[in-house]
Amino acid sequence: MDKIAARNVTKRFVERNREITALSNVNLSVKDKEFVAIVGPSGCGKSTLLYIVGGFLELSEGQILVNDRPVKGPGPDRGIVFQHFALFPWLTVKQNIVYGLEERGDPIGERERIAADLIKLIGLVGFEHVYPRQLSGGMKQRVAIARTLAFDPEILLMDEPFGALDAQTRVMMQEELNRIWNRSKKTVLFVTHDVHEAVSLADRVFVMTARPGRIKTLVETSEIRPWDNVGFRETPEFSRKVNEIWEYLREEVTAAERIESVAASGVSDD
Amino acid sequence: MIEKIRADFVRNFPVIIVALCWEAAVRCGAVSSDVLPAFSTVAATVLKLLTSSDFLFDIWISLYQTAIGFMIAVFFGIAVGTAMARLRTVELALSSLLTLWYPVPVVALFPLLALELKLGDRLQITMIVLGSVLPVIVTTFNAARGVDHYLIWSALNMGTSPRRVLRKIVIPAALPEILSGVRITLALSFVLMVASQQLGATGGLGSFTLLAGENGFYSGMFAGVLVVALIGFIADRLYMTAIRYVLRWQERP
Amino acid sequence: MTVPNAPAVSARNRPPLPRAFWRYQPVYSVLIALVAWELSSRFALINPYFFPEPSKIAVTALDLTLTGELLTHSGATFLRAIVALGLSIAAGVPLGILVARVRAFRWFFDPLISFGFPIPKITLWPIFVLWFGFHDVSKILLTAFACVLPILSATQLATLDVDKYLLWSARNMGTGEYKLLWKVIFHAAFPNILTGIQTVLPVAFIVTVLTEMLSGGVGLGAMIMMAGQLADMPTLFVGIIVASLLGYCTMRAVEFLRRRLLVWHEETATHQ
Repeated sequence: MDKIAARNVTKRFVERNREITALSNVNLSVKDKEFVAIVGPSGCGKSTLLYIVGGFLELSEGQILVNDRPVKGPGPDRGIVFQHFALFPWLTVKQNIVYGLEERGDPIGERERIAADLIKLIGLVGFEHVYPRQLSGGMKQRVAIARTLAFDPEILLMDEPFGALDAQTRVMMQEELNRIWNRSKKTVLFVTHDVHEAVSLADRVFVMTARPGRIKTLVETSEIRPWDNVGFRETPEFSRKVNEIWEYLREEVTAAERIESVAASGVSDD
Repeated sequence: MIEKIRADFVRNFPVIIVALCWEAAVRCGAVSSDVLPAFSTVAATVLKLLTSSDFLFDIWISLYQTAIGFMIAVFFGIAVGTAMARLRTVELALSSLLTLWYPVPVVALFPLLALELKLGDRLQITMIVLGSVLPVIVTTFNAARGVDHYLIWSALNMGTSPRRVLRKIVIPAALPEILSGVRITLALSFVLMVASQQLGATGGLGSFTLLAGENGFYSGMFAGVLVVALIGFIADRLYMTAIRYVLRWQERP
Repeated sequence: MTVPNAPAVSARNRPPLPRAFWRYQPVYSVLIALVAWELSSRFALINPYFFPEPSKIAVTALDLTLTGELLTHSGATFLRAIVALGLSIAAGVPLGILVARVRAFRWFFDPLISFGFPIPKITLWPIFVLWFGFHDVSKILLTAFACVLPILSATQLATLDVDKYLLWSARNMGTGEYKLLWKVIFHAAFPNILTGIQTVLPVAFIVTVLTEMLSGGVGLGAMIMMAGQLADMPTLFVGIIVASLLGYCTMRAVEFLRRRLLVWHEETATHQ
């Protein structure tokens, strides 16, 4: 049984009096406890697909099944982490982390315990009563991840979570995510435009076309995992995988650039 | 502590410069004291007026008319603004009414209201409410709609029901923008108070100032203006101090 | 990455009517309101003395137009407001730029501005009457005075907001200090300055009308006050409506102008 299954998913929406097809007949599946990445050029609809799985958007055609049941809206079974953190700025670090637990109705003792564990896990001991505005980008993202992990969702949806961070922080966060994932083995659907990131973290990598997004191809990366040394990215196996994916991605990136500038200038792209 | 006082002094020094120039210009005869009483004269008049119970009553009237009008406008404005942001039907019903209402200058309605309500407190307060409520509604509506949808999605993701999202997420997230609009509405309420008192001439600092001018009591006129200015300024400062705690989590630009 | 459309959970979809219908929605509401008013007044649902029927108001408006009175009053109000606005722009924009860029100016004007903002400018009316009399000059000057601080402030912020990398690039290419001011700063800050002017536009009209109400003579404000004193309700309403329309039309005209002037700016959406 697939944990997540997308069958012929099509998504259309209207923007500035034009109908845009974001996704066209997307098919993919994620097995239980698998780490799957989706890479694609800007505007290809990969985030849109994630939001549909998350239940925030409705699809126009097709089906998304989670645990063999169609998705009916957002819920704590599919925890999401956004690119720009989406931390509640009026709540402290700890208050943010326990938010999902409060909604669930956990007793206060439980909430405190889970929060303390997670804060230790993400290395922010001492920052419990700090407001998000006082944190750096990397710290904010760690809090966002902790907040989602707190209510222990079966599935983790990650929308370019490290896209807003600088390159150095990004590498460290990738290592940290891998560490966390190795411990708790959730099902992860991870959207990114960074091929190195996808190959570093995922078992399988789906490559998406430019808009309207379809799945172009699937590249298996599980054979070069697990990795636990810094030099992993320099190995020939790693480079080979990255190049393989880049070959598929290259022409999509060029196509996407053209689509975006056409859209901005208002010229019809028939 | 001393440093802070000194810094404040340096920062506000230009005001003192203006006051000194004012005094100097009149004292040396560059400007006639008929037209512009010396600053010292005006200050002295202010102090004298503060001992007069009539003047104190004028201050009191001005304060409570503004306060009541302002609070009613803010209360209703926020309620209506959030209702419009949340319920499409309310938005549709009210948005045309508001678009019609928007270009109407409230002061122009004064004679109409005066005929209906007769001169007095009720008239002034109604003017203040009518003029102040619209900016609050518009600001609240825009703020509520402009809340980062990722915040809402995160809350839904973590199990918050759509009904509770308004109270738990939208209002706190929109609060900075709402309170910023309310600050402007505070100044607007003062303006409407003064304007309606000038038009109605039934008491309050606006009437006092106008009548003082008509009667040739120029130092009193300037004194009245100064007192209104001070009250408006103090009210604004108090407001900012009050919201600083509420918004302590806000990102500093 | 384009922002996805509205969340699925709170469906904000418009009812399935043709798009053209919705574009004219404000017009329909106005028509419905007018019809409702007409009927309520005729059948005395609302006091027909205090709220005369729109038809009667229209007739009065026609009368006033034919005698030329309406034009005289509206013209006076409009001209005063525009002149006042012009003065406040002429004073406020250069000052705003100076305050933003020259330390001495900033030091001097900052406290004056923050003291001045919460003060109701209309309070100074009796002073302006004392100094400038009852006629046009005092009205225009007070209105200008009421408008100058917001414009100054908006210009100051707009100037500070100018992307410093634009300035560095220009300097890098050899632009001198004064040319920098005009070529780069003013153009870059222009959209936000224009926004500030648009924000203060209604204020200009409101203060003008208010001063007219307080001093009589020619002008929509004076016309309204007089009608009020004579309990001439139709004329009163004509005054209110024309005053509102004047402000509204001017605002729309400026919005239109803005779109023309700011074709190059990101905010001007293509393919509307």
